[in-house]
Amino acid sequence: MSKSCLTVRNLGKNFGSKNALTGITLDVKEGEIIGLVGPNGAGKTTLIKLIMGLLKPDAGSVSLYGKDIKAVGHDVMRRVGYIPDEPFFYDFMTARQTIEFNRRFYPNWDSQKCDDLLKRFHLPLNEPVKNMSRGMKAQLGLILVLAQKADFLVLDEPLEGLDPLRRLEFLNLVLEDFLESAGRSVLISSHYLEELERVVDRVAFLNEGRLLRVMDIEQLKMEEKTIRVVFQKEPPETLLNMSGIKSVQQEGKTSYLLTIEDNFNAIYEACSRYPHFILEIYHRNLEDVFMDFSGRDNDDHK
Amino acid sequence: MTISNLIRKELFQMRWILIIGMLFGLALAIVIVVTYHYMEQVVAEIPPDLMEFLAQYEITRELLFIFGDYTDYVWSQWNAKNLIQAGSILVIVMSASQFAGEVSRRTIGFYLSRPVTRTEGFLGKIAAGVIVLGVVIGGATILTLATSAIFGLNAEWGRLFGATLVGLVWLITYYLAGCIISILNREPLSAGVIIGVAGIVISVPGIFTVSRDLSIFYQMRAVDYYIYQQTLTPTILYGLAVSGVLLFAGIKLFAARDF
Repeated sequence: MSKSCLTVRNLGKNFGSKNALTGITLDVKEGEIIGLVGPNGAGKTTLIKLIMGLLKPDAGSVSLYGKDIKAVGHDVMRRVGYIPDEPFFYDFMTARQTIEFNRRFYPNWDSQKCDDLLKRFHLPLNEPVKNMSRGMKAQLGLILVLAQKADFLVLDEPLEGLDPLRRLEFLNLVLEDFLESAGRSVLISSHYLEELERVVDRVAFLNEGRLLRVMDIEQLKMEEKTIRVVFQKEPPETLLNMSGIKSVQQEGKTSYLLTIEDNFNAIYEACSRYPHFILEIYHRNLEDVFMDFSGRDNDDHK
Repeated sequence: MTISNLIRKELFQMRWILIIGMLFGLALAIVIVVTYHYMEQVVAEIPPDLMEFLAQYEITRELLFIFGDYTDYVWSQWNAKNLIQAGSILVIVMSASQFAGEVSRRTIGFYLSRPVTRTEGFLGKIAAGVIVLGVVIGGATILTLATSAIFGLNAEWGRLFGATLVGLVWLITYYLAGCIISILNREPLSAGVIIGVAGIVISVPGIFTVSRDLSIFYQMRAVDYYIYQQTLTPTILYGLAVSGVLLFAGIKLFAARDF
């Protein structure tokens, strides 16, 4: 069983009277990529800032490689590469000076990788960072964490503001780096769910400061589906109440839309055995599930 | 390694403060030498009977005291006046931008997510600020004395450096207080205003004889050392003790803050 690089237990954070995060429990195993998704204001950045020790928790704990975040030393922090939600660098430095400032913190700095990436991105090395576009800053941020040879990348909305080509390139580079070594892990938050779905092993849904679910992406592909079924007569209640059916939407007298989150094969089998006119499967993607979580939560509050 | 990298970054960031501070020091050195040279001639040309008449007045006696000895003149113009004024402005500008500036520019996340403990992050900034203060204040003193020597005016270097050391220690105290205010603020402008107001408030005890020892600006003048011929040790130890308390408070506060 692989070890956890990140262990979050019952984490809570308040800003004044507002509960920004409540009871978050999450593990990131060594060798996995986990996505963090949720609508704006869900608490993703707050959670990431708590993980990085920039915010202090009001409840619970955060551990990196088995060490409490309050007590982590240089050795642990050198293993963690962080790209904040907006890559703010020192305006008075050029890209070269930013790299040089960063390099001195990391004894295992990979100069070769740094040079290769600089050539690949064609970043203007002697240009002050303040003159660089958001995309260039994102590339500079990526160079810093990859050349640092971090074992655990914490990426907060790194794709925000990048065009589709740059998003693709960014994720490919993260994946390339991830595949270089067996124990590397990535925690990435993003609104670009299609891209995220392509790279993550698991995805954590966060809304209004609560972790609603952590889902295996394979499970999503296998189990998360919608069945549209028009029965020939009213189906028994036991069928509609089968375990794994997340929601039942009745469209007509005997027409149903069943949203499945687990136990798909058994449910499909049961539906197909019962006399029906139509039985169709719709594959659901991360975006559909995300909408469910966001929508369901909103409904709860109404 | 970590601390030296942080200090290097801070010094690079404050390079213009350093350069402007040194240029100010050079300008001040020239002004002090030229004004003394000019005023000495003016005093020498005053007829004896007029001098006798003017000597009845306190202000004239003070002026004659100042112009009677070049070391006293330099102390009165530099240690008792410009060091405090220029040094305080320097402290306000530096301390306000050190922490509140880093937050408002949103670079604090980058700064603290390097392999840096909060204590190192705090001490890196403080050390750089102390270096800049030391270089500007010490440099201005050296420039003043060197310019004086070039113009053939001899001052007692030892006494003036002693007084400057006292001034520097108390400027560092004010700087540490400013940094604490800066940590508590998210905007450098508001932090600067509060640090300035705090400076005015803590200068109030200096107005009254009974409480003047409590004023850091009174202490900066090194009056006890320079005028009352006391040793340097008590006022320096006093300044270091207050600075130590502020340093400790700053470390704790910085470690506890959310960024």
